[in-house]
Amino acid sequence: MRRIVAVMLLLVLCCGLAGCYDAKEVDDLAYVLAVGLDKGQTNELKVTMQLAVPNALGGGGGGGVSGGSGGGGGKSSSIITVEAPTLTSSLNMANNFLSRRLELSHAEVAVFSEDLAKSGTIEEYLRGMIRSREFRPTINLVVCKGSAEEYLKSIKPTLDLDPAKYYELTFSAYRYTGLSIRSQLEEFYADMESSGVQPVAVLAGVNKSKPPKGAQSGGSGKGDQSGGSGDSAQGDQSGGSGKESQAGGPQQEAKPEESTGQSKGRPQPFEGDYEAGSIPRTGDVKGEIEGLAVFDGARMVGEMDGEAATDYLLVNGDFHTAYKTFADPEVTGTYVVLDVSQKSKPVRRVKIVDDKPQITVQIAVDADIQTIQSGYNYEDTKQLPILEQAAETQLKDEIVRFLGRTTGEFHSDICGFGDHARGLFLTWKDWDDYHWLQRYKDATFDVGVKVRIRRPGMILRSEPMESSGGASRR
Amino acid sequence: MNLLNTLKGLLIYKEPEPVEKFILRENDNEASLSNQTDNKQTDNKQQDQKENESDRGTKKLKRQDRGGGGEPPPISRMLQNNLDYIKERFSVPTNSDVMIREFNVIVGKKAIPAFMVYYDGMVDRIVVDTDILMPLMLLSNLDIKSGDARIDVYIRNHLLTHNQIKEVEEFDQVLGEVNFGGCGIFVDGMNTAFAADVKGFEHRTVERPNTEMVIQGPQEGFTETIRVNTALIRKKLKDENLIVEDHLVGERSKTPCSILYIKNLANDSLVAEVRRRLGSIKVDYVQDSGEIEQLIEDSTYITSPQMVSTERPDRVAAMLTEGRAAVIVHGSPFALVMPTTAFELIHSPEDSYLRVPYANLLRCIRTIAILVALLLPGLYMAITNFHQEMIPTGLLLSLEAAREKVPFPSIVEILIMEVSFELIREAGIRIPGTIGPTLGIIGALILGQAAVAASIVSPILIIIVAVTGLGSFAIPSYSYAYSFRILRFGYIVLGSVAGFLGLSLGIFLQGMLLVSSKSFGVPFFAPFAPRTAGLGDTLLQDPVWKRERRPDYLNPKDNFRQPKISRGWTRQNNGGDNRNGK
Amino acid sequence: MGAITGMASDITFGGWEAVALIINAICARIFLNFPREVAEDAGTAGWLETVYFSILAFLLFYIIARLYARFNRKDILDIAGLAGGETGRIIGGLLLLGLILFAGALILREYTENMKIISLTDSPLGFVMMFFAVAMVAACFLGLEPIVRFIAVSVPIITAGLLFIVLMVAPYYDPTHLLPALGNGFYGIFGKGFFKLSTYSPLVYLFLIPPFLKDQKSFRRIGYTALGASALLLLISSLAYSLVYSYPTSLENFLPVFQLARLINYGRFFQRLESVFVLTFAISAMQYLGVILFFAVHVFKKTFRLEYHRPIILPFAVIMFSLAFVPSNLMTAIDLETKTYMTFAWSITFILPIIILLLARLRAAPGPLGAHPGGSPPTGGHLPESSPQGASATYRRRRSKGGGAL
Repeated sequence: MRRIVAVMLLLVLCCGLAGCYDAKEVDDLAYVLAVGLDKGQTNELKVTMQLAVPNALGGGGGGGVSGGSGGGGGKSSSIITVEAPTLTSSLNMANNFLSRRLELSHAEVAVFSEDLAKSGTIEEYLRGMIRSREFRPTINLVVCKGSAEEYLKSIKPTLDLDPAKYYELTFSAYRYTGLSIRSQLEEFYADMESSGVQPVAVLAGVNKSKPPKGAQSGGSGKGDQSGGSGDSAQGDQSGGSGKESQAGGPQQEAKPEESTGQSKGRPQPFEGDYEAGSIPRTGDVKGEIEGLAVFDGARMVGEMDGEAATDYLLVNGDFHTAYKTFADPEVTGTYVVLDVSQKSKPVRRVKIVDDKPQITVQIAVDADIQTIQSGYNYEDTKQLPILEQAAETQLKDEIVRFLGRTTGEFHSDICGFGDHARGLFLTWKDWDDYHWLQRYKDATFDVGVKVRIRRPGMILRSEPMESSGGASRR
Repeated sequence: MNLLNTLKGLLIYKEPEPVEKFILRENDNEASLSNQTDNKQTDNKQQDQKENESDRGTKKLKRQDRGGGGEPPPISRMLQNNLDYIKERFSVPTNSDVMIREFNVIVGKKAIPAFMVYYDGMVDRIVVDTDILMPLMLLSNLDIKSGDARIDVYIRNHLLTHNQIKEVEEFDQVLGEVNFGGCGIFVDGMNTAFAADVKGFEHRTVERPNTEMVIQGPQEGFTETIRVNTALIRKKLKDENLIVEDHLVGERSKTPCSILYIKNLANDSLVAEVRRRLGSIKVDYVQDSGEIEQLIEDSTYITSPQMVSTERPDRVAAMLTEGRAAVIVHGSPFALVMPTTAFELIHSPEDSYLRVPYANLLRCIRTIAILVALLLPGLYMAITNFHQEMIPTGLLLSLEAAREKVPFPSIVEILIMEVSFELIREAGIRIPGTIGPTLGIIGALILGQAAVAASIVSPILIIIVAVTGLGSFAIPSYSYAYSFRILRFGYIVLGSVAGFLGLSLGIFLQGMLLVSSKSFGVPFFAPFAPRTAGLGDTLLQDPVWKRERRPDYLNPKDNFRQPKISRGWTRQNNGGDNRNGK
Repeated sequence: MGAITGMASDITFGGWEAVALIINAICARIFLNFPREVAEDAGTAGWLETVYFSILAFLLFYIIARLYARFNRKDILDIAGLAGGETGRIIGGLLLLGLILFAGALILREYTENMKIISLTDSPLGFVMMFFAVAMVAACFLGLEPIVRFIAVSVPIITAGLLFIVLMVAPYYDPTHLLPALGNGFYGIFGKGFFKLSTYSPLVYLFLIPPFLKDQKSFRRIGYTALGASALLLLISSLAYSLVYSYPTSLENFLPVFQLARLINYGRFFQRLESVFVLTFAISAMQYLGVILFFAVHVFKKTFRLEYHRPIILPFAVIMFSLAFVPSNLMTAIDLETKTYMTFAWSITFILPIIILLLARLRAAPGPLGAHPGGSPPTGGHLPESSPQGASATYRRRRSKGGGAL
């Protein structure tokens, strides 16, 4: 017994002497919700951090809750910027003026500015992030048109008290919009190192359609992109626009026609024909996401719009469900909106013929009718194939265009066909010797799309509108 | 020098002293069964001899060794000698409630002097008057048609109309009887005495059990009187194989204890071990089964109790039919049932009265309650101090905001709250009468509210402490709940020193201690570690008709309590008698 | 606590306990490096390599079990004694002791380092190691019986935890990560893979427990069951890991299973659960270290015919503790384990017993070999042939130690 007491005492003593090295009280830490990385002016990097302000959020003590919500999100977070050589050192530097130790484990999003992404140095920071225990491997990676700092500053959510919730919900919205994608640190990093797939990130931007001149950025860049969806000079131009915006030069007013829709020959842009920052809209939160940032290795090589994001998701089988607008095949000028969902993984096959990849993609989607503006009775089983056919054609065109850009414009296998191509090789060495990523640009595609409309919504039969003006269109 | 020796004692290895180890095995001496008879007295002696023969160093039963003075003289034929001796033993002039009544017995034509001794208040006066004194003094005048010549036989057979009369030869037996509410009758010219059981002391009647309340099920509980208690069990368990074996424990208190078991069910070695442990106790004074429990339990320093302490006769009866043994102590409304396991301690007597789905829901809730009572504060410490990333961001931020104004580190904060909670609990019990529960509620509510308002603790912590307290109340076994209340503090410390690693160490050490401990030779973690057959009634409960097996770890003489098909009606050609289905 | 005076010879346990002991010992490496190691050898075909060396291990164990068949209730040291007398036993014992201590010290170091990295970054190494050391010593003092009983309860829970992680990361599975099918080629899988046989080196404990077991039949059954279950778990873990992480990246991750756990992400609430992993990880580590220390002490005691094992527990713990500090950094420790240990451990686990058994067979005349040596409990003639439920045999088995105790 005495022995046991002695051992116990010894243990307690040990614990006491050793102390609690790692114990950190919750309120001794400052929680970073988002990190933004820009090119620095005085140093390598300008790190922007969005910190949670607990008093406003939690509403401590008695009547704090109402006080918190009364703040209207204005005080739910605070933004700091530090110019530092590396991301990690910026934490140290920030702690010189912050009372609390920075804690990154609750960071939801890491934003890289377009400049940084295009310079290819993103790898340097990613390697630090993936090695760190604090960064989640599931943190969202975002490339922001313009400056990351500006984007983070623009996130003052009014619906959510907590910016973290805003980020979580926004970055998982691709499940029901299809206009952005899931790009998490771990996947991005693995794709960056992979020899069979290239990374992509979500494209974010600060919207500038409404506010007066001077407060917006990247307006000219958007114009360039919309015009240059087809040509390969786009990358350089938008890079230029980024610099311009940082310099704070005068911007053009955003115009609705400056979407990618024009180049696709659409009279009016569809919902997917925008990139982040150019959506014509108003709203309290200026930041927005739509579209893709395409990478080659660690270097960003281009941007794509929301429609490309949909195509990317469809080709990868990650598409959940979303409304999608189609041109009415029978009545021009009106639209049909389908609630498209992908029920089965796409069939993807890669063959190598004459040393060139031949890629087959078979996509099957289900759709429910949401809107038939014209009132044309597509619900009729005899008419339904017309609509299905039209939707298939439009989807196929979009996907072919999308895949064509990845080979022709970006030379970047973002859809990961290389992963399938690996099956053609027996060992890793054979595969490595083939140098897939270099050969991807020569790939040819055979895309098949099958659209099956399953349900008509709440209307089973459209009846034409009656008016005295003239005969209704049957 | 002393210190040096102490240090030396700590560091230097001592050869282990041989300790009697007991492991519950299957019966291998079925023959011994026949030795046991219903007669408790002889059985005891036989058992004792057997124990001694098997050189296990078993002590003779308490009843036979008498502390204090030398051998008592035999009962003398001279009444005066006996009177003197009795007066001496009972310190008669000083001891005021000892009553010695001298009278004459009329036998035939003779008047024989006699006296009786009893404690005032311990005996039933009416019985003494009508059943003992009246026949001896008056009714002996009646014409008795008998040829019994000897006085003792005559008196026993014809005069004493009381139903419980023992003729004894030793003073100690008389004294024992008198001490326990009987009366001793000495008659001149006899070298024996009569001991009549005329107990009539005040005692509580059978009431509802206070600590183990059930909604559904029998509502009577044990009382402080041993015979009432045994009768309550016999009432439930109408089986002549139920043995009630009496022992006296305590040199001075001479507390009667009974070992209960079912002769053809309980493992012989288990009964022998209980008998051995109980028989070897040498203490001065024993009042409650709680003391007996401490004297016969396997390990004092393991926090969990190693036998079931229950107020409910139905529970004891049910456990006896599983092949366990029980000890009932006079003066205590709590019976001890042994052996038990860690899982049985979370069973409530109500479980088997409820339908299976309800009972299993309750079992799950109780398991959660245990985890909460044991781990929640430690977990809170570990998560908030070490693993902040686990908390959802929103919750974390409100936690942070709540702690913002609190000046203490969270370990101090939680200790303050836990200690005050224990205070409220203890105060609530100590405060007399009906204020107790009120004080508990008021204290907890007001104290919590005020502490939060004064920014001494954060509101989240109040929730943690309150839920922990609820968890510990939901554990059916009172002393088991104690064990978790104690260990909880260990987990708080470990959790705040090294987070989950500390908790892991705690769980590991506690688990190791639990699996290494035994309750009367049964591993405490049976049937999981070691694995034995039949997990039917551990964490979850099987339906009544599925409980074919008795717990295997008890190694009862009959493993099956019901045939495979216990519901005869489920088979078409049921002959009605399904006991043959074994 | 006072009642526990477990001497080795008093211990008996059932089949399930023994199986759980071996499973825990083999599969502890899943939490450390295993999935990454096979990826390093075989690239994308790590699972194939696992299958391959598991089959090898089965074959070797088959041989050993056949040879063992005649030596009832004897552990490998007793048999070494038969084969080479006093010298044989001492040589065998020292080799085993070396293996166990080497593995023990490395594993203690690695577990500690891992814990430090994933959870206690600011604490000194010694502080973290103290937790494991305390657990190890306490377990050893309580004896083998509580350890195996604890393991018998905890292994299913830990396995469930592992499977939970594997299932929860299912959304991240990408079957193309297993391509090309042959990974780094035949040499990688079958050449380097041979040395992965050392993954099964904890099987050596199985050769040390026969005196605690009921009969030879259960010895063989335990071996196969433990091997099978461990092989399954190793396969599942390596498969899940390479399904989630594509090849070159899969080489990078330290603590593969922990990395998998970090990915778990279901909705806004159900994420960041990897810290719970620390619990299962640490408990599995503690019990494994307890087993290692116990067997180190046990082998030493048996080799030099000591009467008590308790006095040497602390010295051995101190030795392991100090050895654990020898590698100057974690990388060296991992190298020592994955390179040095893996290249020789298999030979002591598989080849040494075969040699000893063969020698013993040659040396010993075809007489009855079942007679028990001094240290181990007597066989007892009245063992029940087979109990209706294997588990319930635990108690019956105890009875075999003769009625003297009652």
